[in-house]
Amino acid sequence: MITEGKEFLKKIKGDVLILGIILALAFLTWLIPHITEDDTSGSEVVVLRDGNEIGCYSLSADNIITFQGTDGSYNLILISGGTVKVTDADCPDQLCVRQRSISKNGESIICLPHKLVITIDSPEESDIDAVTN
Amino acid sequence: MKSKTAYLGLLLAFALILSYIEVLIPFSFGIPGVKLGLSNLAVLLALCLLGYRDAFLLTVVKAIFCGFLFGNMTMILYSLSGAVCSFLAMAVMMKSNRFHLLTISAVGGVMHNAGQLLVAYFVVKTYGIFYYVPILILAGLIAGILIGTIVTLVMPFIRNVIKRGTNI
Repeated sequence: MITEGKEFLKKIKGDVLILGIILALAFLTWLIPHITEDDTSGSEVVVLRDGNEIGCYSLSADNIITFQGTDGSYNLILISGGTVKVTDADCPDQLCVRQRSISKNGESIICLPHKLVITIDSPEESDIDAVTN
Repeated sequence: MKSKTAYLGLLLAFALILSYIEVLIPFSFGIPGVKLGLSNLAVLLALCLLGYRDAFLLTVVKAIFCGFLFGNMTMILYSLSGAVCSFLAMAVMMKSNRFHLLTISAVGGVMHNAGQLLVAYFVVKTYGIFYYVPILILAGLIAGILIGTIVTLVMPFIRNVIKRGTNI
């Protein structure tokens, strides 16, 4: 009985060690994408309407652009300090205006009523997207 | 145990039925690759009862059969890599005799997902899939612990039955 108890304790040590390592690994793999500095120095703000690119601007240069649709609808986009935001739009749901500003590669703001997609693209990443498209 | 082949066949049938049940249950977590992995029950039982060689055979045959029955060639590739990774990890841990069955199963679950993710990376070649890693680790851990619990609870009974069987 005592040897059995010892065996149990010995195994518990191994169990705790290995499960601890796995949990630490899970935590680290979750943490790393959150803390690593995303290199957005060469990134561009790409604007698509209905899937077609209608504008491409540098993320690092401050800019205010208005996108006017054929039916008179508009979205006002503000690029400042490496972040992008839709400041004004006449779409019915106003979701794009309410969405927080984006600043990382791959993030996007979408205005569904106007079929407008605003994404931040790094030059390398768009290569990969083109391949796996 | 004399009739190893019979037990191997029994466990293979068991594994295939479990896979079938898993296909039947509409069990989707919205993330590809996250599933319960019920058929690992059979692999774990084989590891405990039959030894490493037969358990490995079961692992490989199970993955190939499941692929043909419920999936396609890609699925065979995924599940084979996952199953072999998982088996190797579990076999090493079993051999070291320093872990409980529960932990062995948990690590097996995690390694299953790791193996699949590796193949997925070579298929799509996008680092993007590694965002899934933490989710897949946790999912594998939980699934493995569930399977490990079942095997731990069931093992004494099975050993009993086998012992009685050979006595007759």
